[in-house]
This record gives sequence, structure tokens and C-alpha cells, in this order.
Amino acid sequence: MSSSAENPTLTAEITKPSTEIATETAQSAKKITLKTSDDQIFEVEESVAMEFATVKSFFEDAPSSTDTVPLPNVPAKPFSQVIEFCKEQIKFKANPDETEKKRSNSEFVKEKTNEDLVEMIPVANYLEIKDLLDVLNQAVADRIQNRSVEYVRSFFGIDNDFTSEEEALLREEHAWAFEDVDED
Amino acid sequence: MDGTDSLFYYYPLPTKKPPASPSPSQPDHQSKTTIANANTDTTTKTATFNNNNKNSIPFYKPIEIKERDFLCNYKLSHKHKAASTSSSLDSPPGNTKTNKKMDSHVLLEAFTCRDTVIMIFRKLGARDLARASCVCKLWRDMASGDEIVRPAFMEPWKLKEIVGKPESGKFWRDSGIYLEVQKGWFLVCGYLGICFFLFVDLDKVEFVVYGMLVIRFSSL
Repeated sequence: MSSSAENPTLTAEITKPSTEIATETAQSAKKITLKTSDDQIFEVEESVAMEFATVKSFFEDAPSSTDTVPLPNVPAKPFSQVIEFCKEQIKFKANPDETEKKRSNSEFVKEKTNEDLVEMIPVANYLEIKDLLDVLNQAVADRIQNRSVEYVRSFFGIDNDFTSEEEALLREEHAWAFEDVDED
Repeated sequence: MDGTDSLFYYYPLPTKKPPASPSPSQPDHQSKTTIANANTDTTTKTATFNNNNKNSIPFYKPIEIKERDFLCNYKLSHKHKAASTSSSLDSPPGNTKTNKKMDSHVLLEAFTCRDTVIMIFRKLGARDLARASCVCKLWRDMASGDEIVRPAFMEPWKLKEIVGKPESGKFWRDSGIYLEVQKGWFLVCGYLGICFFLFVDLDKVEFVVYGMLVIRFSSL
């Protein structure tokens, strides 16, 4: 950055990101600044940010970096929930208590809407938080268990791309799986 | 195979920062005229600046999840309700460049999508998988894959191994086997710790052998 500071005409083009970085990092020593895909800035404690394997590997490569870490695949809303989860997880790192951890995890997913869960999965996947991914996938699997095809489609927001003949054929082939399906 | 690991591999790791701007001029140059010295100075500066500018692009190639690839047709509008309210800062300089490169990422996105869904499928039973395969084409291809269906079928039965390939997807009805056991509709031929399951459909009065499928119980 030193060379760009000496050259005012060139710095003008990138003023926005660079000043942002400077002000954000000046305020916090132990905090890490993360920028989501919708340009929201999150200041996260270092211990929490290290839960994200993707962010962790960035700092392993450049330990002294003070830049804002861009997370181009992460929108703000699910990300704030992911941070919430990781904060909980850190508590259990200090004193591991499996039953308490399970209870807290199930409580975490219980209060989330279907939409929240579906949004968080790609975020957890991108940030490589294996614990969270496991919890989320299990929660989603539990929620679509024994539900109708229509329910699953609306759950994930998937469009039906079968022709009516194709679908009828498939349903006939899997007719055994459609007995005693829960009501939506 | 481990889907999650393979996925992580595709995200390029952040690159280290380029070293601090190189020394502006070699010792030899200093003996030459000051004009020449100034010239080399400016060129090195612009060069390092360009380097820095490149570095300010997000260090992951932004792999934008395309509408139809994420969880197969996952609706972005539904996903980004919160995003619409956010401030509209200028998009980072890297975005326009990487959008042009999108084509090369299409395959990659399909993989990410697959991995996400497959992780959920691993948690489902055979019946749920069969219904999942009626959701959409991508799900049909994934949910009927052997590596997904077999473990789902084997899990509740504590089977160690399934040899052979069933002739029809109907084989995987786990509850079906149980019912048929109750009704006495199928025969088990055991030999040297290997059981042959022969399904007998009494309604049609004919033998239906599901592709000579051999199931070995772990306890045997």
C-alpha cells in the first residue's frame, strides 16, 4: 500500500476500499473484519473468526494481514446466524460437555425457520465449519423426513423440471415410498 | 469418497501479499544520470501499484452461485431478501473482471451444489431418498446413485456389504423387505455365511429375483 499512497492519481481509483480497511482495522486490535457479499461489514473476535476454516487459512498464509477479508459468497443475514453458532461453540471448546453441546445445538436449529437453515448451509459450506454443517444437514434431513415431494420442493425453493409424464413414471417406480407420507 | 473435502479443494486459497516494493534502482544505475534514475523509479512504482491493485480483488475468485445451480433452482430472490435493504456501495473492482470468467466456473458450481445436497442425502433413509428423486432432475440423478442409496439401505439393517446390482429401484424399499419377511413372501437361501434373498411375488405367482443380489450380514 505504501507505493500507492505516494501516487495520488492512482490511489483515487481505489479510495473506497482502502480507506475502509484503514478505519476498520485501526479501531480493533484483536478483531477481524469480514465483508459479506452485500457489503456489510462484520467485526468478529479473532477466536470466532478462526472457527471459519476458510478465514483461518487466509491468516495462516498472511499472519500479519490487517485487511478486511471479503466473503464474496456469504450474505449478511445467514452469516450473522453462523457467527451466533460459532460463539456458542467456543464456549464448549473450553469445557467440553457433549450432552450440553447437543442440547445447545438442537436449540439453535429449533428456533430457525426452514428458510434460515437452507440459507445457512452454503455459508457453512463455504466457510468450512464442519460442526455447523453437520448440525444443519441433520436438521434439514429431519425436517424433510417423511414429507411429500411438494413439501420438499417448497422447502428448498426448487422448481419442478419434470414433464408430467416423467414425473408420473418416477412416482410409479417409487410408489412404495409414497405410502404413509406425513401431511404437509 | 468424501464430498466435503473435494468441495473445499476448489476454493483457491488466498495468496500471500506480494513483497514490499522492490528497491527502486540497482546500485549500477545510481552511477548513471539522475534523469534515467527518475525514469526507472516511476516505472517500478506503477508496476508495484498494479500489483497491489490486483491484490485488492477478493482473494477467492468470487464463484457466484448461479440461480439454477444452487440446490438446483434455489431462488435467489428468496435468498437475498435481506440483501435488498443493504447499502449500495460500489462493487469491488474485481467483480466485473471475474464475471467474464464465469463460464469456467459453471462446472465447479454444479459440484458445489451437488456436494451440498449430497451431504443432506447422506442423512436420509431409503424411503426419503426415493421421494427426493421425484423432486427434480438433478436430485433424481443424485438420489438414485449407488453410493447414496446403498448406505441408506444398509444402515437400518446393519448390513456389511451388498454385492451385485439390483434390477430395479424397487429393491431399496427397506420397509418393504420387513413386510415381506412378515408375510413370508421371500426365501432366504443361506450358504457359508452368504444369504441369497429371493423375492417371491405370490400375487403374480412367479419368482422375482432382484438381480441376484447377495446380501451378507455383518454378524455372519
